[in-house]
Amino acid sequence: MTDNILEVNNFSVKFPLMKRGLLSRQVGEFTAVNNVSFSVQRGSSLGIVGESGSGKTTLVRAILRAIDPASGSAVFQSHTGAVDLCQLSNKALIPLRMQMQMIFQDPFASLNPRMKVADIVSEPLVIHRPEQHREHRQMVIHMLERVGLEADTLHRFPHAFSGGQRQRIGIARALILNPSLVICDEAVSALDVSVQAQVLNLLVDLQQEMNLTYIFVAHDLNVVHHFCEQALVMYHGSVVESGPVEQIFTSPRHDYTRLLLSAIPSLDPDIKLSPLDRNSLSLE
Amino acid sequence: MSIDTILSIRGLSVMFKTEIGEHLAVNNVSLDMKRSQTTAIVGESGSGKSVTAYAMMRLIQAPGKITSGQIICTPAQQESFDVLQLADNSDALYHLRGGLMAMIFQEPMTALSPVHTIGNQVMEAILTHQSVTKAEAFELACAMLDRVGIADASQRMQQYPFEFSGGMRQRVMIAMALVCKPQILICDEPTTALDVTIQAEILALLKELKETIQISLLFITHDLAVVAQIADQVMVMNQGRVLETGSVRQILNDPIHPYTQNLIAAVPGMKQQDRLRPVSNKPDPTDYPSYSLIPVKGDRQVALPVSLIPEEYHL
Amino acid sequence: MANPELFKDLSSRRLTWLRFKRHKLALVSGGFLIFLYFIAAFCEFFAPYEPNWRNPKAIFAPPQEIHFIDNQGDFHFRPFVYGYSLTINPETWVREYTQDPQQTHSIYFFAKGQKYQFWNLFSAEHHFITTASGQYLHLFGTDKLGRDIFSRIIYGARISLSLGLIGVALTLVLGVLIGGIAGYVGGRIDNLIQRIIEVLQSIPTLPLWMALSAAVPVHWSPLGVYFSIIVILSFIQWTGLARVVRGRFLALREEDFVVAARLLGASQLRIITRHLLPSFMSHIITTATLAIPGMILAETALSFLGVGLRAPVVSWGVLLQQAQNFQVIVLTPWLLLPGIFVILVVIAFNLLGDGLRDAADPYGGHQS
Repeated sequence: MTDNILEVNNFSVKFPLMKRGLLSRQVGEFTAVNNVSFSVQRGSSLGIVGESGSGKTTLVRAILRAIDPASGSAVFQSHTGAVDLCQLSNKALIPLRMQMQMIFQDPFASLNPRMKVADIVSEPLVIHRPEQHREHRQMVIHMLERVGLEADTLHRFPHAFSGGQRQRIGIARALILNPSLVICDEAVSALDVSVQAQVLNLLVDLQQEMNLTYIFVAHDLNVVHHFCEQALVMYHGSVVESGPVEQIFTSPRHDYTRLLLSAIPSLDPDIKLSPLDRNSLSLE
Repeated sequence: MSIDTILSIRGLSVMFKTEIGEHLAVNNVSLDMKRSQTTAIVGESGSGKSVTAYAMMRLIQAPGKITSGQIICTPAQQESFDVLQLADNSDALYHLRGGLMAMIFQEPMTALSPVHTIGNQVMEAILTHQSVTKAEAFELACAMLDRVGIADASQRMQQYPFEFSGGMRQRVMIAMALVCKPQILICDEPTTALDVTIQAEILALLKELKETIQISLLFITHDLAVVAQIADQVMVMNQGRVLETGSVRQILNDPIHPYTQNLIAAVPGMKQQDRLRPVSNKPDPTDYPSYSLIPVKGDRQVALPVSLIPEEYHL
Repeated sequence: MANPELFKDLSSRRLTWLRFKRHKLALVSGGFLIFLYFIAAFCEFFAPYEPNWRNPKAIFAPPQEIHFIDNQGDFHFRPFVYGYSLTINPETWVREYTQDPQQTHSIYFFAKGQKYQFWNLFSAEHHFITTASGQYLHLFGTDKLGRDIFSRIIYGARISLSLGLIGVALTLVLGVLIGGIAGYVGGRIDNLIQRIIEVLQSIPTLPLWMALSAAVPVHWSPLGVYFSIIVILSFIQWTGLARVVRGRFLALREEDFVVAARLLGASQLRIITRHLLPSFMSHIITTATLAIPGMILAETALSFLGVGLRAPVVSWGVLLQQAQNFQVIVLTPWLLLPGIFVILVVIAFNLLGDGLRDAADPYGGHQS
């Protein structure tokens, strides 16, 4: 039996191209995500890799309906049954947002600089569990401990923290409502390598403790290789290859995947980088 | 080809004054750059690696201040001089920036003017440092853009930076840096903002340039894999201090300092590991107390007390 | 660059203050403005005379100098001024006042003087500075009716300075509301508001103001005129602020932390009040500070041209109306003193605004 928490079918996102003027009008559209289908198994991690402009961030933001998709379906197994996220109104989505959360790339931009850590982490509780307001403080302290922050961080502002600590605050905010699906949008890309390792380890631990499902968007193939079981490779809005990570990394089938893999520098000075020539490949 | 030192930093310290106190961004750093080689400074954010490079070009601005040290530069067929002794706004300093040393940055878009064509900007760089006519400058610019791998150079010179992709912009930056034939090229995280395929192309270009025009590269990065691919000599920095120096193979295959070891272990490798070994990045000087660099076997240095250095490295 | 550990526990407000303190000029300007507003608030007490009281012995009299040493060479702890003696120049028939060392008028502090109605609440007679009855004190001279310029400047400060504050408050409400709607709703409404702003901004302001204030009925009470002038000035000024607010809204709407709040399921009201507004409060305060001098200058200009506030209301613009001809500059230059105060206040507000702007951007250039 397969237990897929999310099934995405024929999913497309389009942006209107507007002509500026006295009265702006639409002159065309740009397809950022083109007819993408995939599914994610509960408790697993799916990596989405691709270069900038490949549409990977747009795809996940549209699944969470931060952007409205143009067509397709995204069926999410919520606590109360299967729902197509593309069909719901913004209002009907609100209760579901407890179950799907996002961790952002930039730990500086994703926390409101004018709110204290306690307010940032408790905001999901204030929105979704206002009736339990007496327990909020305790829940926040508990969550901060789980992500490795001391309780004395509560009354500080984000600027008092390093990038890695801020990312932990962002993780605490995303996980405090006990979601089942967590989307990590380049969640470790902005971090130093040592801090990146800490955060990746933390995400693995939390996945086991809380039975989380991750969709892990990254441009760093090594990170996806390390972190995920399944992966999608995106190029110009389309998925060019998908499957188990090991298979993609050891025997890539698509030329674009081969190009990406050949460009990864090795840590060994004696293994010289010899990237494939982009022009000699049939990428479309 | 003799390997001699083109640039030698001795005891450099840079202090930043802020509202709430003083912060020593670079603390007593010494470094030797060998001519026609690539020296890499590796470190995480806040390690002082960029500040060191900025100090070399005398680009430290208030609230920062160079508090001590010497930067001895020995250009080919010239007398050596101390960069820090040059007077502000002097001709010598002017010649140093752009003429003797040039720099490329992480984000080329911020270093390029959005309202001028690429051609104008490259020609501007030529005209300020060389006495040539406009027509000659155009030819030189065209040749240099062609040299860094921009196809249809004369066509693309009419275009504006926003019409170039990130990788192409970085090539333009390299061309602008090279037009005045500098002897040292400082690369401050030049590939960090680029996609991995573009990064590979830029690295290949820099390597090829180093070998053909014999330029000395100072490469600043946090990415150890990039270091492995491009560097000859490596210097590891943390909290404004140098922890270890040596050749690229010594540092990456056989690190002595525990910080370097941890840094390497924290890189997710191509083989799947169960857990990464993270390094503490908290600004806690007690993790790696301020020992001074001491020489060890194999022409390398490490900032550890003798008792903590394994026997086999002792001189 | 700075070690983030050192910033522990400092709120962004506190950081802003630390940065602001480094701007000595802004700090001094802020202090100067607070001082002026304090005086303006208690002008009945600080002014030695009522603004419309006439001293028949001094018409177009020049400022008196404060002395401590009398013509005998004796030192007095209590400062004093010399009274005027009037001569008429037989050639030009101009009244010429000289300060007569025979008459010494001592200055008393916190002493009883003219009766006044404090804030129209109760009557009082203590003044900050005054003289004995029958003696007089004209530190900035008098005008053509013998009214004390010093007192009139202090009373005028109340009108001119408060008009700036109230006008900007009204501007703020209009600008934030309309700009916020344009920026948050976007689309067609944004387009419409943008076009309206462009039309309003393309009308030359001074003729428009003059036309509007000419439409204010002559028989209205001074208070009615005062508020209608405020409304007229704000009517144009809000457009600039609305543009700023709209731009900030548009930029902030795409910020990660706002997207994060949306993905948490926060309501629009919550996003606006908890995330958007606090993020550009400092921006608004700065813009408002820089808009106040514009208001004050506009009032001065209108009143100077005779279409703003009118006597018996005393504002700096009304006072400057007397300084409209060349004769004044040559013969009675002290009538220009209100202009000095306008200049000082405008400069002080601009310096303060600059300091606030530099201090309020805590995240500009924060990352190394």
